[in-house]
Amino acid sequence: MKVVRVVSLILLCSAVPPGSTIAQQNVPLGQNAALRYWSAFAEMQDSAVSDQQARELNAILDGTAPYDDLKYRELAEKNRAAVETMARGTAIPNCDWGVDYALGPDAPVEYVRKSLTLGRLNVLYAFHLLQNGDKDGAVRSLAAGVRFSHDVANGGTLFATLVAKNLLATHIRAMAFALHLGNLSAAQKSELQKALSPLGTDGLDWQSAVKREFEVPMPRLDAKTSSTLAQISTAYQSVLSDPSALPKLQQMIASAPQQLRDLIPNPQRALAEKQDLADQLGQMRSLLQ
Amino acid sequence: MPILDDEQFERYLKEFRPVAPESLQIQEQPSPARPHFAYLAWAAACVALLLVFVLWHRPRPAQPPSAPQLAGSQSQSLTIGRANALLVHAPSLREAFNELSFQPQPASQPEGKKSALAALSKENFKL
Repeated sequence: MKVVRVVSLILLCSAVPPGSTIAQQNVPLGQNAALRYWSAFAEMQDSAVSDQQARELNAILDGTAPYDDLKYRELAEKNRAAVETMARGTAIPNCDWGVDYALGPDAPVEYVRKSLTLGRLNVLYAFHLLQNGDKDGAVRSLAAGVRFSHDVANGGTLFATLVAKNLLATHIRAMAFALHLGNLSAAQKSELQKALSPLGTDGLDWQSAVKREFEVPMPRLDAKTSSTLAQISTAYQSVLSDPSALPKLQQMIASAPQQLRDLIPNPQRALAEKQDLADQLGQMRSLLQ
Repeated sequence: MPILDDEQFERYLKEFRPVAPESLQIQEQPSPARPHFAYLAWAAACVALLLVFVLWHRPRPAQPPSAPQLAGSQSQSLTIGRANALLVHAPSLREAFNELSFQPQPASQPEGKKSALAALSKENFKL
């Protein structure tokens, strides 16, 4: 019996190459788009703008004001390195922001805030390229921006998903502008279609975001309250795929202890955001046909 | 002195007259002659002090614009709890994201200007 154990152990050891464990650790660590995105955040360059220009920037991103290259080319050019670093990062399929959920509500998610800024700079950069006749470059930027926006939500809570949704919507508006302005070639349209394709119908994984939102360890919850929270979490996830269950969820939230009600994002608002993104994606896919 | 009555004594006192004081005779002490180099050393020290003062307080040349206030250098960092509180309590998502805006440091931007990254970090969609 002892001989059998020793032989088994030898066989087991010989089956596992000595360097495989190290190799397994190295691949995900190095091939992580989030690391490239952090490099891009570090490369972001600020510019001084007036209040009027700040309002105008938001209006441009909303699609309610035209982009004026004379005013914003400096900002766009200064951030070329940042957005290009981000674009290179989007070629990496794995994106792990490494949120330390063990910290519970104190877990830092500063990357979400920085992502919002970088994603918007990317849209301005695409406008800058369009205005200067570089349609290929603009399409590449927008396609990369879509992939980046999707990555922003990766492994995050509902908040990260809402920021990702906003960035996706901003990029889709910019695509519509490029289509309207530039008579994009079939190849350029195809590149945009290719970027939108992996997003599916909903664009983002809303259910997973909500699941993570409710899994964040909450201090000072007794067993009964924790159980109620788990039930609400399940119902919240269901509502995102079946909006008809919204009134029932709202009733559950209304009858939950105040301590819980203070923690739960408005499901109607989340549902509206999800639907809005799905609509915008559908319209853009139609335009790109 | 004989004993006088009051009137006699008064007359006697009135005979006295104030005497003008003589001028004070002070013999001037011959001061030791200071060596010439002491004056020079004192003057040099004064000039050195003056130079140090002037150099210390001279108007400095205009500083180049300070490092821009980059996104995320706000003192209060974003956490899951803070983000969640924004989502729950803000009247709209737009306001929730506006709460995330980066406030440029007063000295980092010229007067009447603000950070472009701050402007871009503000969520702006309508609900």
